[in-house]
Amino acid sequence: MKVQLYAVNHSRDQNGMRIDWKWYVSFKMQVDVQYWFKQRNHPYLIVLKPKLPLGIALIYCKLHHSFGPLKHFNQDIPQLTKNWIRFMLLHQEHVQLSEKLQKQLTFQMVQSTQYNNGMDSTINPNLEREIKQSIQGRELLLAEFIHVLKKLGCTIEDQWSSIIQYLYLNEQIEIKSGVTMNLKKSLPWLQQQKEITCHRCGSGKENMYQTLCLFCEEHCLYCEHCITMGKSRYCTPLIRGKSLSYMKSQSSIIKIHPISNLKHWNLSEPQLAAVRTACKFLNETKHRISTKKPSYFLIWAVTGAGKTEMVFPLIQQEINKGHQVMLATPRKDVVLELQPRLQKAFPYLHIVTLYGGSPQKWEEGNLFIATTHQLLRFWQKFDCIIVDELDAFPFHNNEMLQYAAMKASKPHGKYIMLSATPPTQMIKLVEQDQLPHIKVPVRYHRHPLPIPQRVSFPSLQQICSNDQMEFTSLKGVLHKYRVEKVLLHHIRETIHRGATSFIFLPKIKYINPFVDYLRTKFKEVNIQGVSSIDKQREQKVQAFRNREIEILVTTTILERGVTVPNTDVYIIDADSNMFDEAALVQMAGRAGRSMQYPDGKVYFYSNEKTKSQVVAMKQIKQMNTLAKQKGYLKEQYYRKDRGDFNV
Amino acid sequence: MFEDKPHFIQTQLRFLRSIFSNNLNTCLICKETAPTYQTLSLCNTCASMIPWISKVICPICGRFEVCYDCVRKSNTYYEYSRSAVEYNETMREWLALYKYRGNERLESLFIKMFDYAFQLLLMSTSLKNYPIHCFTYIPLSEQRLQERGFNQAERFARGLSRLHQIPVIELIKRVRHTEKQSVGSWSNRFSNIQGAFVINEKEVKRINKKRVMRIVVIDDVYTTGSTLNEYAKVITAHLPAKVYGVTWAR
Ligand SMILES: [Zn+2]
Ligand SMILES: [Zn+2]
Ligand SMILES: [Zn+2]
Repeated sequence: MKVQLYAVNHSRDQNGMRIDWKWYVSFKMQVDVQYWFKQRNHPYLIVLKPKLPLGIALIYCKLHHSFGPLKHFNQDIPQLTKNWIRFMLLHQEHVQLSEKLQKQLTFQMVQSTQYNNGMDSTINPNLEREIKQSIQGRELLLAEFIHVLKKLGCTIEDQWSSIIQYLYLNEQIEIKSGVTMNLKKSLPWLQQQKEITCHRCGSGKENMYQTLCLFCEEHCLYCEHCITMGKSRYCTPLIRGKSLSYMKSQSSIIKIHPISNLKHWNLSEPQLAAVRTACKFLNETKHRISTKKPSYFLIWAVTGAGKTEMVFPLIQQEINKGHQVMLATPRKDVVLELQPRLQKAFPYLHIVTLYGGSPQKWEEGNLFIATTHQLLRFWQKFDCIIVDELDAFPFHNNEMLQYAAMKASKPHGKYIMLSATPPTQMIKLVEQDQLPHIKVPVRYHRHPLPIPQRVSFPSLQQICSNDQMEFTSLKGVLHKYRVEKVLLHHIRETIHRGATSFIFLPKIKYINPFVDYLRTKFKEVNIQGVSSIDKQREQKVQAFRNREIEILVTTTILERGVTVPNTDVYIIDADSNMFDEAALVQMAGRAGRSMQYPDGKVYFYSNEKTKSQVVAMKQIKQMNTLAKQKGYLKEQYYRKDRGDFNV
Repeated sequence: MFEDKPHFIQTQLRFLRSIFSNNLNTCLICKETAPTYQTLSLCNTCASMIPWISKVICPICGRFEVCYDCVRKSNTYYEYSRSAVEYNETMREWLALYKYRGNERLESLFIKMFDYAFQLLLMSTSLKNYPIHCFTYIPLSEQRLQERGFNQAERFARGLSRLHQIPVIELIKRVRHTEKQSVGSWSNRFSNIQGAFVINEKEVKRINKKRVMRIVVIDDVYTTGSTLNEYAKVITAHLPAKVYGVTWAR
C-alpha cells in the first residue's frame, strides 16, 4: 500500500512564525485536506510527492516527527531535502528502493485557497460508533478491517480509505505498518542498531522475507512467522483501535458471591491458599508499575492439583472490578470444554470464545476464552490475562505468543501464568525470588505424587541403529540382556492390580514393533498404539479412557491432557533427548490421579541416568516434601509408624 | 496520537527473551527440524512426503496411471505435459502455504521441484534434439492478482527461466474472470474456460514466424488440461508453434 506523506504545523511563536511541524500519512488526501483546511483552519500543508510505501512513510513520521520553524517555504526546501536524503541513505541499508522513487521526490506546498470545495469526509455517527466498538482494543490487518466494515454494511469499494483516514485524524485508531524497522538518527561513530521487527508478532530479522511487492511496487518485507493469521507486510497497514472500557453488561452482573466468600467454589486448602495469594497480586497496584517491571505471577501447580478450578475465583474477582479478562489456553478443545463450565459458573457474563474459524470473532464481552494464537489480534485490551499451560505446545519456545500475550494486555495489566512444569529459566527466577509465585504442591486428593522408579534397560535407539526396527531384533535384544523379564514382570503386576498401562516411547517408529512384541506376550490383553499421525487418535484415546484398551503405547503427544484413573506409567528410553524434564514430569503426572487409586506406578526405563531424569525426580520429591511440611497431605502420611515414608 | 508505550513493550520483551529461547535455520515446511535434505532445504520427514512422479504412463498429460481424460478429448492443441508430483493432500497443503497464505519464501522450493518436471519433459523422445525457445504462463485475473499479490505461475516461469537461460514471453492476455475451476462437471469446466484468453499482439509481432517455436507453458496444477488446451489453441492460431506443458502437480 502506498500513502501520501505530508506535514502540518501545529503552533506559532510570538513572531507569528510557524513552528513544530508534524508529519502525517494519508490513504485519501481529500479527507486530510477537508480536515485541516475546513475543520482546523490551517492555511497550508507541505506534501511530499509521489506516494510512498507505508512502512517508509511511517518511519519518516516517527524520526522527523516535529521539525524546526519554517521561515519561508522556498528557503526551507533545501533543508527538507537534506533531511530526506539522509533518511533515504539510512533506509537503503535495509531495504533497496527503486531509483524511480529516489529521484522523483519533491516537496510541494498545498494551500487552502486551492481547495474551496473539499469533499465531506465525516461519517455517519452511528456507523462511527459501531466501528469504534468493533475494533476497540484490537489490532487488525487492513483486510480484517475491511472485513469488519463489510459486516457493518459498508460495501462501497474504496470507502475504507476515507474511513481509516477519518479515524486516524480523529485519533481513534493508530496506524502501524505490519513490519517495521528501528532506524535511529545516525551517529556515525556508533554501530547502527539494525532491527527489523513484525509489529504484529514481534519476530525479528530471521523471519522476514523480501520480495518485489505488487502493492507498493518496491522491495517489500513480509513476516513469515505469523503468516497463518494473514500476511503482515512492510507496506500493509496494521490498525490499532483505541481501547474503550467495556461497560455494557457491567451493571447487570449480580455479584452473588463476593470474593471474600471463597467457600462457594469448593476448593481444597492448598488451592485456596494459591487463590488468596493470586488475588492479592491482582489487587496490588502502583509499586510494580513504578519500577517498570512487568507484573507476572506464576501458579506452579503439580499435575492433578485442579488448576482450572483455581481460575474461577480469579476471573470472578476481576469481573467484579469491571475488568475484561482473557483466558488463553494452547488447545482449541480446551477452549470448547471450558466455555460451558464457565458459562454455568457465571450465567450473567457474556463469554466470547475465539479460535481459528470461531463465529464470535468480532464480538465483545467481559470474558474471552481463546487459543493462544488469537492473542495476536488484540492491542492493549485486557486488564488481566490468564495463560494456561504456558509451557505447552505451542507456547513453549515461542516468542511470538509471548509477545502477543504481552501486547494484548493494557500497560498496567496483569498476567497469571499456570503451569505444572515451568520452563527452566522461569524456575531459576522463582528460585532467585524474582518472580512472584505460589506453589500448589499437592493434588486435590491430598495424596503425594508417585515417585518414578528407574529401571536399567537397553536403549531402543541402540537396538535399532538401522532405520526400520524389526520386532524380532527387539525381542532378541531384550532377551539377550535378560531385561525382558523385568518389563514383563512390571506389566503383569499392573494388569494384576487391574490398572491400565500408559507406555511412552521417544519415537513414532518404535510404536508398532513394540505393540507387536507386547501382543505376543499378552495375548488376552487389548494393546494399541497411537501417534500424532494416527487418524483414529481420538477414538483410541476414548477407548483407553473407557478401559477397553488396557495398554496404550504412544509418544509425547499424549504427555498431557489424557487422564485415566488407575493407570501406571512406563517411559521407555527415558534417557532419550526427546524427553526433557518437563515431559518426564508431565508423563509421570498421568499416574495416581484418582481419589480411589492415588498411588500409581511410574517407571523410567533407561540405559543412562540423565540429568533430565534426576531433575524430574528431584522436582517431584521436592513438591511432596513441601506438601508434607505445609500439612497438606492426608493424615495417614504423618503417622509415626509410617516414618519410613519417603517423600 | 494516543500514548505509545515502547518502553513498556521493550522491558517486557527483554524479560521474556530471558525466559524463552529461539531456534533458527529450520526446515522450510515444518519449521521444526534442521534441513538435513539440503538441496530442497527440507528435513528428511518433509522431503520423504513428496510423491514424485517417476514413471510416466499417459504420454499426453504425464500422469502416472492410465488416463481417460486424455483419451476422451478430441481436439488437443498442445503436444504433451509433464508434472513433478502427484497432487495429494500434503501437496495441496504445501501449495496453499505458498499460493493462499502467500509465503513466498517457499518459491525456491517449488522452482527446484518444477525443474524436475522440466527434466521429465526434456527426456521425452520428441524433444531430445530440439531446443525450447521460451517459457510462458497462464495469466491471473486482475481481481485474483489483487487478492494474492503475485501470480504463482509467472514466478515459477521466471524461476525456471533463470535456471535455464530461456526467456519468458507473456503471449496471452486474459479477457474475463472465469469461475473457480473445481466446480461443475468435466464438460462444464471445459466449456467454461473457452474464450478466456486472447493473444498478446505486441509480443507476437516481435517473434520471427518463419521457424516452428517450441513453447513451454508453466502452471501450478494440471487438473483437466482444459486451460492448457485453450491456451495452446490461441497460441497455435497465431504462431507456428508446438506447445508443451510443465506443471508442478498432477
Ligand atoms: Zn509477524
Ligand atoms: Zn509492499
Ligand atoms: Zn520439515
